[in-house]
Amino acid sequence: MASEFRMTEDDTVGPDASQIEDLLELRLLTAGPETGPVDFPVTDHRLEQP
Amino acid sequence: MSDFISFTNPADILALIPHTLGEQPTESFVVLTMNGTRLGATLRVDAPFGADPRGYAQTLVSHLSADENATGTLLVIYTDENSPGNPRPYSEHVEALRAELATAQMPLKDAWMVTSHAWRNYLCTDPACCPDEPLEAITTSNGNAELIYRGSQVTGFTAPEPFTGDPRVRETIKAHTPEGWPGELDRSRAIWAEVLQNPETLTAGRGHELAGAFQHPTVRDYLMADVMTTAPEQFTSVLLGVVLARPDWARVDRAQEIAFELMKATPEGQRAPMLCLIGWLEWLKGKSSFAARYFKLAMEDVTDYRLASLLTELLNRGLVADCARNKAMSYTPSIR
Repeated sequence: MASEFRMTEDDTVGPDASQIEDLLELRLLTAGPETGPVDFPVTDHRLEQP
Repeated sequence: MSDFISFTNPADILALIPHTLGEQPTESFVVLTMNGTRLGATLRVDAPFGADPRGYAQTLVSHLSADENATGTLLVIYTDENSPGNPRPYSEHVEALRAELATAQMPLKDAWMVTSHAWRNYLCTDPACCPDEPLEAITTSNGNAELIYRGSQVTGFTAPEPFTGDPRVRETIKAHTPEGWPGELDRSRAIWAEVLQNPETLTAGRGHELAGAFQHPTVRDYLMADVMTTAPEQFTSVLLGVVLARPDWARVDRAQEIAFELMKATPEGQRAPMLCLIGWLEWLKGKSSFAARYFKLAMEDVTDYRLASLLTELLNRGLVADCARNKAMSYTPSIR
């Protein structure tokens, strides 16, 4: 029979923990050189030369 | 009505760019990809200034290669670095770009330069053939009229409204900040899901509760990821724009509107998480310049706010969100 599990304060998530921030730090390790922000939206129109 | 707008002259193309980017670029290189006669992606990067021409050109082409269907390109240089003695600034960079684009099988078809006062063809330096044209020719072009007629507006950067409420709200929001219990996370996500589904359910009380929830980094992470319903199971990867299917962009727009609403009732010092959410969603849409400004505001709201600081660093390294690089997934502004 499984023993009863009780949550304690040790099971709460730390107030500063962030998986997303940790992931970003990892991603930055392999990021390229500084170039400034790059905008890359997509358009969908047709060009007709006169 | 046709799904496409047809552009017949350079002024039309120059009119399209601010509609696509959300504002008129300055000191920038903008490259548009073409697939036959169809326009594809719009890439904007800061003007090279002292950057090595070949390296700069290769960086641009590496971004443009995300458009696998590109068969050609158009270049627009926004700058006031020109002078009578230097009518074609950045000529070494343009030549390097032309060479790299040719190698990448997306040759440069034409190029223009836009200054604060006029625009003209960049490749043709004969003023008798290609004289300076007034900027009014862009705003009065058929392309601009058609875009406006279809509901597109060049809105520019939308700054959040300042907090003008009762300063005691700060304590209310603080009281709603979770301690990290799973039940609190579930409750915050449930409220967020309901408000995202139906923004009319956002009451003042719920606004304070959500603003409080966003203060806890772990809860904030989940609330951010919950905007994207096509995220992979591992929720953190969606932060980099990794999605399994085309995002529900209408939901993304709603999330941004709700975050702006939350900030109306959130005092300074507690607004950074919402600013990060708005900026991150701008980045997913391919609009890094706007995103960077929201992250800057976040760091002004809470000094060295870690998420904003990391996202800023990522943007400055030129990272583009996965979903913005994929035409099938990328954001499309709603045009009538």
